[in-house]
Amino acid sequence: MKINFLSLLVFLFSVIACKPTFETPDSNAGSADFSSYVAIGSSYTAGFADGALSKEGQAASFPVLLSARFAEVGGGNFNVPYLIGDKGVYPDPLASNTDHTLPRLALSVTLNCKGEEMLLPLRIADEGDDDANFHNMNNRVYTPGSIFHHFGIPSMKSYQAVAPGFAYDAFFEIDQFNPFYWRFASGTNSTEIIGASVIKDVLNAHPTFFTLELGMSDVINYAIDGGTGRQDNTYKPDLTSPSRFETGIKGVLDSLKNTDAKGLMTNIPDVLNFPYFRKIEYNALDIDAVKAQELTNQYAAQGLTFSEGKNAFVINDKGTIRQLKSTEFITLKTPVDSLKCADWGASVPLEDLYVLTEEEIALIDQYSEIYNNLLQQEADARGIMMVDLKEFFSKLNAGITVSGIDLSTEFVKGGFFSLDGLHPNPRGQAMIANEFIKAINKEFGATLALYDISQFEGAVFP
Amino acid sequence: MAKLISTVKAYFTLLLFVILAGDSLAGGFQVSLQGSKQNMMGHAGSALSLDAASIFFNPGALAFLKDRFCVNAGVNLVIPRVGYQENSPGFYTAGNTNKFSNPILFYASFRLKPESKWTIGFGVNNPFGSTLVYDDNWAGQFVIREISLKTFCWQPSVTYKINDKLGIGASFNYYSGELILRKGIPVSDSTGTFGEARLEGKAGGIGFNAGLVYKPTEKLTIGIDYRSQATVKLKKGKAEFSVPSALADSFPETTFTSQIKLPQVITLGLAYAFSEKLTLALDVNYTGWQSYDTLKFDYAFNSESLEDTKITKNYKGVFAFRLGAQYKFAEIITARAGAFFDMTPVQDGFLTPDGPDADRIGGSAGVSLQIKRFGIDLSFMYLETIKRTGGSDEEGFYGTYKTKAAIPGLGLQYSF
Repeated sequence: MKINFLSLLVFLFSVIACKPTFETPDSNAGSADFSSYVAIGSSYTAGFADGALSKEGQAASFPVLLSARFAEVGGGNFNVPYLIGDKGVYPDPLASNTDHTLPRLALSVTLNCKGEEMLLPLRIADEGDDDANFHNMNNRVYTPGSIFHHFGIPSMKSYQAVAPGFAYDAFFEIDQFNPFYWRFASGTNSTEIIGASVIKDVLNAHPTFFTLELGMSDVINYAIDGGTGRQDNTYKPDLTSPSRFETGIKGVLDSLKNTDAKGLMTNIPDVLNFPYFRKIEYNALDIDAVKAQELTNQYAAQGLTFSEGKNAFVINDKGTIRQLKSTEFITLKTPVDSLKCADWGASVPLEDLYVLTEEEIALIDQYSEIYNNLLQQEADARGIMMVDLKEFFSKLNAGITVSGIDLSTEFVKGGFFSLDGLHPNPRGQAMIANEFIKAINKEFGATLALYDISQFEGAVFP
Repeated sequence: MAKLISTVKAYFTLLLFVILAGDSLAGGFQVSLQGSKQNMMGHAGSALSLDAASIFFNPGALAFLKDRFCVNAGVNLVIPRVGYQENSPGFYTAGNTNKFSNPILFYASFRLKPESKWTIGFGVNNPFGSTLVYDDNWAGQFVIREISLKTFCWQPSVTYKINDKLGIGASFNYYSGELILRKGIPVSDSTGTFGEARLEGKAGGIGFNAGLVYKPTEKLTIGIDYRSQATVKLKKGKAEFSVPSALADSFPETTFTSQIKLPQVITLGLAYAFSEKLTLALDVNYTGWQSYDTLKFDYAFNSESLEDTKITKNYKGVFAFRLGAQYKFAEIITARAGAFFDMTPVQDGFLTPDGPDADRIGGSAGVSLQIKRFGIDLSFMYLETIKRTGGSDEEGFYGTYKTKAAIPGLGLQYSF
């Protein structure tokens, strides 16, 4: 009897120690109307990651994360032009058309050219999902009447968002064709597809809310290709002229203004802090005394000297053979095996394509500032709140800890960027989504839940 | 009655086999559950001579313990409930899992001859500890998934009664401890499983406890107790990492060393006997938590990915105030009650979910029954922390924490 009494007491006491409770808010949209949310932007909006666009990356993109929150407070359908297949696609830069694509990167344990076991980002297979996505008319995801909401189009520059013909594959030769847009551009015949433009398709969705992340491609495409593009021209690796940039941004915003849609826009981060430009150090040419003497002899005419240990790589800077300065960058486009085993950057000077020189860096900084000023000017003129990605990435670059996770712009280890060193991984996308949610809660008096970034993957290892 | 006694005996036997554990129940990770009777009185007791638990509270007080021989054993069932809420907008909430713990106490004191001035004693208890387990996938998983710290203190003591007004006593304290710590590592494998670090080790250290009891008048008792700081060293702890296979070389199983400086505690106590039946007691503790400034894990193996861990704790010294009363209805039944306010040593900016501490307020009550040589103490304590919002910049983890705990306790005594 006594024992039963005691166990009863114990039971009662456990009940008394009930969990502490907290008042949690109810989601609400505030003054925003999410019934038709449209996301316009380039690679970041698309969810491009690991060197390709994949279905997984699209699903992890910040607009998809936002749309899930919006759905809780009256958000309507958010139609994403999802890719077919799981391998991802990226048009092969070496192919003369889009018929050959590359799949996404994954970290793999592999032997490098020296026979050392290394953990490297490698394309997962020989071919991407090109057959399913890019090959022919039948593989377009547009069907008559389709309305899409996710206009994340990798590498789309500001002015391309308002340009008809962006889905016209004959424009491939002049770099005004984008296969990612072609997949879902509106139109049932080639004339219609040629006439399609991103902004027209956006208006088809009758947007009530938008996010606009545009401008990064205008500068980063130039940087990715080692500054080989031109100033103020319209090929892919070129820097967009400020006036064309302004016309593009204004074109998008004016069209949106006519719809009375509210929204947010972003500015452009300092892209040169991305690991793509920082992973390989300018002086990673580590050689012994014999090799140093050989190189000193070889470059006697240029007056270059080398010593045992770390040396600056040698480049061919538009005909001038010289060593890299500590302020210059070698990009991840550079084949690492060639650096290690084919004597690139040593007896074989690096081509300009793989290097950002001081001059090119100055140009990138200059244009980024011009673009950002224009973006801010247009945002202010229309009373659109700016999500300050520039500030966000500057903090990330300094190193931050969120929920016990150390994050930085370091390659792989930094936990934010995907394996291409340019685009965020799912955790990075969730963090960007949170920046938008915070801005929406502030600007529109909405109450939307943040994403718990500990639930998102950073680097995935074999 | 015979049935009750046999039940009591059964409990006694059971207690000896209870798996021993500790839980964080006072500021920091001190466990203020060290005497079955004192627990009922807000854990005040340095100026009281209630039972052999004085070995912990004040060895000097044993000089005035009526019984020549006294054995106490007890166990408390601690059911802590920690609640967490993210900062604004505050949708996310979490809490610890239902894991409870059961800190024990055991004391024996013996006066060498009926009229001797010398009393010897021995005690075992769990003076420090903390057990908190969160779901593996909770928002703070990369800060902490589980922490379990248990310490045992083994303390032989000796007490000398100088005269009818003054008693002094001291004990040698040997601390043994066990630490288990699990936290996630934010890298994942192809199945989406995050990595985990698991540290486990045993530690030991020594210290002492010394106290004095002075009775200036018939009714007033003053107690002063000093428990020394003790450095508990953990050698050859085992560190295991479950990480994706490609990272296994960077995170091999290794050993680690660490140490924790358990704080010194100074207690000033007063007890006033208003009558034969009613006694009030007040204790003020000062705990020198400054000793706990950093928690370091020094791994035998280091790699680019596996660096020594150094967590800044930055605790501060704090006071606790404890007030208790006892009322003796009859020889066989005594009721006690008390309350306490216990300040947190955790400073703003260092609030982490492995010890989400805040100022604590609590109350306790209980009843003791005495049947000839057998006594039984039934106690109940309830405490809450003040809701605290803050976090740690080092971990980048912020929110609001609140802790509640209900602690039923059982004590048994045999004395003559």
